[in-house]
Amino acid sequence: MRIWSVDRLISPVVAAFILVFGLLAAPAWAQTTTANDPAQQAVSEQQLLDEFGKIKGRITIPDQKAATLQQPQGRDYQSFQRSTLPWVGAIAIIGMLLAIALFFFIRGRVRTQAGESGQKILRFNAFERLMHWTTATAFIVLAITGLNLIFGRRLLLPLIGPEAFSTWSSWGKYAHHFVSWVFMLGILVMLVVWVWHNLPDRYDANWIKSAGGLLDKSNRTHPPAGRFNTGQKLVFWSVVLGGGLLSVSGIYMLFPFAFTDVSGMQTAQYVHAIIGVLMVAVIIAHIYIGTLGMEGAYEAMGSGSVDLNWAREHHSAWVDKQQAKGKIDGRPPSHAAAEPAE
Amino acid sequence: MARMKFLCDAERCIECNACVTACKNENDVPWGINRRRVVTINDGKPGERSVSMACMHCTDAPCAAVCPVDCFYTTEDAVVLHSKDLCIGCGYCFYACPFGAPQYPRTGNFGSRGKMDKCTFCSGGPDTDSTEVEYDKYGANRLAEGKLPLCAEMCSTKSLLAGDGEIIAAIYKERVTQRGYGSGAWGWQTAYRETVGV
Amino acid sequence: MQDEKQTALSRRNFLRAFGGASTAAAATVALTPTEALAYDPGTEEMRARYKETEHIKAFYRVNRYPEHK
Repeated sequence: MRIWSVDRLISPVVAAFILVFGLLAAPAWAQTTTANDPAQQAVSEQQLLDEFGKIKGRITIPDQKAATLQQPQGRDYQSFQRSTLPWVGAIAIIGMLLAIALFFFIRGRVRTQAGESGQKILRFNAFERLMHWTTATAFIVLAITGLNLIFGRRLLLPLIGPEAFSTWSSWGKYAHHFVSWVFMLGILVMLVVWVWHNLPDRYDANWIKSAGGLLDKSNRTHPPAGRFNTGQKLVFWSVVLGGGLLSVSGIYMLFPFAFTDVSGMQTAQYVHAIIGVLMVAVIIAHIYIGTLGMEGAYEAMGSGSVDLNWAREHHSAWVDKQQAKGKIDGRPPSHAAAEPAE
Repeated sequence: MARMKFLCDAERCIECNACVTACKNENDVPWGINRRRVVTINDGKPGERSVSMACMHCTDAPCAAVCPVDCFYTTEDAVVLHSKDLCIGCGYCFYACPFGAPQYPRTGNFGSRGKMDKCTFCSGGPDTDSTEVEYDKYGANRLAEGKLPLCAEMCSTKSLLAGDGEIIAAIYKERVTQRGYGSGAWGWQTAYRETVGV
Repeated sequence: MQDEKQTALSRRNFLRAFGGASTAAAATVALTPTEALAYDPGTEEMRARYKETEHIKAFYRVNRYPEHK
């Protein structure tokens, strides 16, 4: 039997320590917690905003969006919608129109130097044309209804009045929602069908160096190109990448708050709107060069067949390849028109 | 000219949600729509505060600025109202609102929201005052009856203040001076670009 | 002969370009985003409704501390 065990010795010592320290510590502890100022530990609005950018809390209703008490970023969204976006949009679109007008008046149409040969070759088959025009029609609907949301209030509303404008915008909204799916599908199919012809090739460097012959008023510069020249590749990749970004941000907006919070929704809007107006500017240039800007270009997507001379001047490498495959009857490849002018 | 404002004295709010219920009842707000809500910050921790929040009727209102169909208007009482006849339910005002005030009934697919609904400071909408048409669309018009929003009027702890901005700021200042503390007028800097100087 | 024709053409082109540019410039002025006028539903809807009625005065009074009555 051990009376003075270690345990027995420690316990009173520990108890004494606790008592002494407890008595000493108690007044200090009481001072901090029972201070007559409930605001001392209170959350401060400014501190929360500085720390997190917005204020979130707990809510007792099912709508979790409501748990965000305050997001001052709404003010940034306000200035984006009110001034940044209309300015960027106006500069991009009017700037593009001005540039094209200037280009047309100074440079004039791109002519087929050798004139028409009378022999037609197939450039885009029926499926490609269907795909192009379906996507194009969808894009035009989306562009008009989209631009309406940016500029309609300033330009159209004063002309037709609030009621008519609201009705039109409401239909525009539905059109935008439903037609968007056609556009997204079109982008996807285009990517699959045309991506192989739009990868960089050995003709690109020279094409860029001679600016595709666009600046040569005599129409004699014809850098060789495959099925698509560098300019067309740029249009393709802006449509695929721009359209892709529009699709992703658009899906976020089609299903609001399904994948993100209010900050994410604002980001989706920023991306969608800026890419949207830039795409409109790019497509305006695309429409110009495909119709008014270049003789013989429209037929490629119109009837699907182009004149052999046109094809030789603008896509010589492609013509050679088609000829090698035996898809073009008659004359052997003539490189005369395909060489760049000295 | 009196400028209408809300001020939630966070030191008094006990998160009873009676303001939420009063608002729903007074304005006959449909299910799923909350014109007012109470958010608790730092729940269960020291310094926890609850704030009752609805449309703050901002100066230079973001919702009005971003509306693509320009359906908002600000009355001479500085109350921000909108026309449900013109609203197309695009949802932009929710992205712009610093306080999450705009609400939408879900009516269609692909995020096709119904017409936006929000706190009207209990002062109806563009239809004729205190008519059934106005009530159906926008709820009560207490301001036209010489009353203030019901959420504030029935607040049991007198936390939620509504009315002339200068008067309620003075009331809040008196409270802060008297009791010696106050966490400030939540949302005022963002909404009105000014705070209650104490 | 050929040179004369060229000059004449480019002068015409220049004038055309100039005309085109000024038309586009006019369009720019017309399309420049301006501060949108807020939708005006009419003075009747926008007029002030707030009046300091007895009811509202009572609200302010009960929200003050008793000594400030």
